[in-house]
Amino acid sequence: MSEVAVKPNNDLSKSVKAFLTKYSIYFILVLLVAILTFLSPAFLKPVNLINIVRQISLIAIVGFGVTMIIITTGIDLSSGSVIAVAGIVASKFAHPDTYPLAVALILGLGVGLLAGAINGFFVSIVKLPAFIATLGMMLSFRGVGYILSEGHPITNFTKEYDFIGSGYWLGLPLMIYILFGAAVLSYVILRHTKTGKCIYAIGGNQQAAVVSGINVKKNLMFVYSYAGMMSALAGIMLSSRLSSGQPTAGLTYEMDAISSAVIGGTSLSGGIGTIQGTLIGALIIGVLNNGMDLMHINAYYQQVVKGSIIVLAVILDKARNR
Amino acid sequence: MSNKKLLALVLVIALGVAMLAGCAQTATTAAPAAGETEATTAAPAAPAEKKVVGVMIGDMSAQFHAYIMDGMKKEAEKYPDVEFVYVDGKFDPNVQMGQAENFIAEAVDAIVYIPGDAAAAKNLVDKVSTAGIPLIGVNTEVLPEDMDKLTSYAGSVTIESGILLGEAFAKVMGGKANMIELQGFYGHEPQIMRHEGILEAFKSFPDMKILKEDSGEWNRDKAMQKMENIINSDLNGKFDAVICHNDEMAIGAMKALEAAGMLDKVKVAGIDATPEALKYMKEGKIAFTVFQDARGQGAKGIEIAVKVINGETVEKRYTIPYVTVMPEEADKYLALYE
Repeated sequence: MSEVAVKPNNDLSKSVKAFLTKYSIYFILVLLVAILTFLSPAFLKPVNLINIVRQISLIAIVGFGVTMIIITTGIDLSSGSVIAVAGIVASKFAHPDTYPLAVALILGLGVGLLAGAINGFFVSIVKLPAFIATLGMMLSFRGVGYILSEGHPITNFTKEYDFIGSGYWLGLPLMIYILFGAAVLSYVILRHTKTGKCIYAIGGNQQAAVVSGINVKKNLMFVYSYAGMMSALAGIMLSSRLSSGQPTAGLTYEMDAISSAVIGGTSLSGGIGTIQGTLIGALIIGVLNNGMDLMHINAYYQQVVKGSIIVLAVILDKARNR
Repeated sequence: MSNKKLLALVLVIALGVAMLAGCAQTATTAAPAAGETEATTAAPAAPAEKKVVGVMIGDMSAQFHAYIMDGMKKEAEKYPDVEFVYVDGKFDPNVQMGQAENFIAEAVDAIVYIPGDAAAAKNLVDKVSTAGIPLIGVNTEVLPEDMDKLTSYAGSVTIESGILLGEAFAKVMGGKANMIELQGFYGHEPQIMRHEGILEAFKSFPDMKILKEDSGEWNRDKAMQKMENIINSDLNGKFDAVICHNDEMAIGAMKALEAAGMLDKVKVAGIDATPEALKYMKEGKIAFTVFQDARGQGAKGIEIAVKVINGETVEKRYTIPYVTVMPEEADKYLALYE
């Protein structure tokens, strides 16, 4: 699997190098954590670590769906807009003394599923490039968000709905459990189901996948719909966390989600990528954001550092895919 | 297979044509005015033809611009003889430039203009004034040397909001506080002026100290994350106030503090008097806010435009003042949004 290109002097250095390149992304995270722990005593406190995981939960959840899409050589630019619309739709049905919680959740997730299915239709049936299909969805769904909300935030939620984004269970924020659940579900789909194998096959070589009898259209429909639903889940969580469904919610979240996937080793040319990698990628972004805030680094410099580290992480990670 | 492709293509084209037709409706009604360049001096020649006012919103997705537009639309109902065409600048000077060029080509009778960006407005102001179309600025000032080219301006003096915010905070905290300042997008005119206003106000209160400045990008989500990180940093326990450049960020910071159980020790305030902020003030979660009369600004802009196209004289500037709002007055301001 992970052969190293350079000629090693002995077996030990070869195996060490192979090990390092295979798990390079994990080492980058550990290295970052070590540096930040050294520089800021507040960093490693449990309350701050919980804070980081909660902060990355939204982009990671979106990232899981996006990872599957990228593995099929696609892309999803519509995540941020789906976050906004799903948050608004769920918010509209989450006012006290109106509907049970399930209605808000089902409609919110349903809207994401619909958006994803439309993306899937244009990509698999109409055969538009994923970039174009999801760009169209990104623009038009942002508009739908403004139409549904009339440009104003939607507020006043039931206690149950508020609990999603701000509640705790056994000392941990509920959002972390949702993140964990979404990660396990996505991992199982990708690693232990026939659909998962088909997703990798389509990304590896679409022609070969067709020849070997894989229903490419059906699988692409599934992948885009699933990603739409994951974005919607993030949208519901965000609206609950902010106590308001906002048409501006989730702006540029698609970029953070794609970054998480790519930092985590998902190849933009398809066929390669894992859910755990994306989770690590999201953690790297979250740790960077948090650590730089703790060290009071000026926001101008933060952007430069973030951009550089993203590129650096991918350069290092590329070694194992060669 | 190819049938399906064809069907999809036809659907897409049909949709596109329908959308174009929708846009074209406003364009055709505006067309009869073409040819008239000196709209200010032109007498109302043909009463049958509706006068057209182009309204350029800086960014319809920005909450505050949406409230300005609410005020505009309400005021516009008073003038059934005038047609108002609203366009969204998407916070992009280039988009607004294109929209201004379209309005010039249509020879609208007046343009009401909220700049998305003051510095980038220069060429736009030049073009419109060269074309002789009355230009009424709303909410955001253009560069000082360009203000003269505006027919009129309705807005508030931005620095005043920062001064009021700082002064009221000094009063609430008894003249002594250690503060976190959450600013708007770096480089935005209100971010610069509100920061200057706050510093101006604190000149008379040397014990009002700002421990850390950061940007919440006008955004509740971003401000909440910044605040969570600050709470976990070495600044925890050292600050007792969070001063925010708008209410959205104040709400974000407040929610982070509330989740950390620190809201009883830290006071939060912002600017705008949004309905949500007012509600949180009634619950004691936000200390106060500064009201900028979005609706009043929008309504004034429309009123001026109508006066101008009717040949009435208008003043160069209409100042809509800011007002500090304490919790006990929250209901009065909430009523404005009903």
